[in-house]
Amino acid sequence: MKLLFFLLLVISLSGRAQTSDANAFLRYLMAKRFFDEAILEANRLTKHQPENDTTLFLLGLAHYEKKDLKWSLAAWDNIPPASPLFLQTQFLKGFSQTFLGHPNEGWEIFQRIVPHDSLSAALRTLEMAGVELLRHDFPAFHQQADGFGRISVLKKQEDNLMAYAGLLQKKRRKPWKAGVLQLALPGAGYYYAGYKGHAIYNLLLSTLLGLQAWEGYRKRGPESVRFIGYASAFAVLHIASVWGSTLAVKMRREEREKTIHDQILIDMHIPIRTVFR
Amino acid sequence: MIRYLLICIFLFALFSGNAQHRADSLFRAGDFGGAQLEYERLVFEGKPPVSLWLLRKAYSQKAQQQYEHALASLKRINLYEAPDSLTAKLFYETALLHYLNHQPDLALGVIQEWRYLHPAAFSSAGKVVEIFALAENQQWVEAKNAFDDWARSYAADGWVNPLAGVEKVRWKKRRTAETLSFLLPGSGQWYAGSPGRGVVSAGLNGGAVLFAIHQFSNGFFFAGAYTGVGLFYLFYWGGARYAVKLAELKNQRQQHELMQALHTAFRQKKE
Repeated sequence: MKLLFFLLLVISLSGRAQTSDANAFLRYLMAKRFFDEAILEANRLTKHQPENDTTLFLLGLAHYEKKDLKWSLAAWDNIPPASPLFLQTQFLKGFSQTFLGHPNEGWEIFQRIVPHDSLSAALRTLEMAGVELLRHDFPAFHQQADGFGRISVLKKQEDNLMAYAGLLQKKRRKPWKAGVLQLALPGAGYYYAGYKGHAIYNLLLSTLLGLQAWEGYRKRGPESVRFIGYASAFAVLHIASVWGSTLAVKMRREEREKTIHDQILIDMHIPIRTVFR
Repeated sequence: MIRYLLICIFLFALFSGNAQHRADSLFRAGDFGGAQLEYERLVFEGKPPVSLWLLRKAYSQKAQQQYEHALASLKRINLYEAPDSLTAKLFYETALLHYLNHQPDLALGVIQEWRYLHPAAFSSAGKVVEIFALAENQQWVEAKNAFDDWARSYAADGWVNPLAGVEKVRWKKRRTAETLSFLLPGSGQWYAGSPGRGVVSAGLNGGAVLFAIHQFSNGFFFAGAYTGVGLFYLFYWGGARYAVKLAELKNQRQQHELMQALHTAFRQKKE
């Protein structure tokens, strides 16, 4: 009878036995991409087991998926070096710091990584090369790039980084040059900056104002209100457009660099996910 | 033997009921995030009825105004396999959540499906959602008729249809406002219900034309062409665009007033 009682008790409690792995539910939430709930569950678990590295890792990963990278870093900081998840965490931390606009901190983290094998060594090289590109330190990038080509799985990203380096090292347009061109011919500065539509518009507007000023000068003389009004409008527009064309070059440059930097970050991110899938 | 069996049943009920009790308590305490997590745990643990936990999870998400997530939770329930007792609730919640998520067309689709598949389970609450969804979808006459249907079938006497006379509301046509503006600058704004702005627009256009004529007649051809005609061009096209915008705003104001009337009618009765 007692044996039967024991068996029935085991069966009745089997529902709870299924969840004996504390992180099983957390893993399920992550797999379902319920990141808010995963964060809640992980925070609850860390209260009871503050040193469970899997929980901490998944907590950081849930924040990472939500792009709350500061919280990811806070969670991952508590993972001890002895943990099997430590290597992956270090790569994710380095990338997160870089993504947050702290490439120096990211570089420091990547530099401290002790690779376990040739794949993690090649990944570390790729990540450090990416950071060097983001810092526009081209000699350091090429030094890292010497280590490219050892692992075929990273080849595409390595090639991309080489291409970005070429684009970033290309001769850059100069704001002062745009200003001088704009001063000489309205619209030319904008054309140089790459804003062709704006260049035509600027040339047209300046010509129209200039013609009206000339008309006022010819018919009413240099002291007429008409001439002074139109000439002033022309002068103000011209001076403003000279200044504007220098800013246009800077804006264009920043836009272009931002696009390339975003691409670099993507090419730094993809291999981390691939290697530690 | 029976005693041992009873002990087992008690223990099973205690452990399996605990999680549900925790989830329900959190919900009642207003900790909807916590409740949502606990209902998902019940789903994870496979405790039946899973459809009920998912429905309650959707309630928790709705309480946090996470309508899209709540809809995603409901989509995980197989409507055709859910117990009959839940069918009406599931259809109602899905329709309501679509309405709250600014998808009135989808809400109407769900209501149509509900009425077709389970006519007996179709409820007064479903009809109310239909009224609001039709109104949100700008099907005003249909909304008015749906309100009359609802009042006849479900409501007590004393209800006044807040959408009565809705067919007499004069909605402004964007195209008409634009065409009028092109034909006579300022008349588009007047049509859109802003006569003051119409007068200003007409004045600006007229002033630009007069300036151009004056300049031409005095031999200032560049000033006449570029300043006079240029300004007229800007006022003319800008005025037409503005008339369209004003017509849209006028329609939005009218829609808002009608929606407010509908909300007020239900709110006052509820109080």
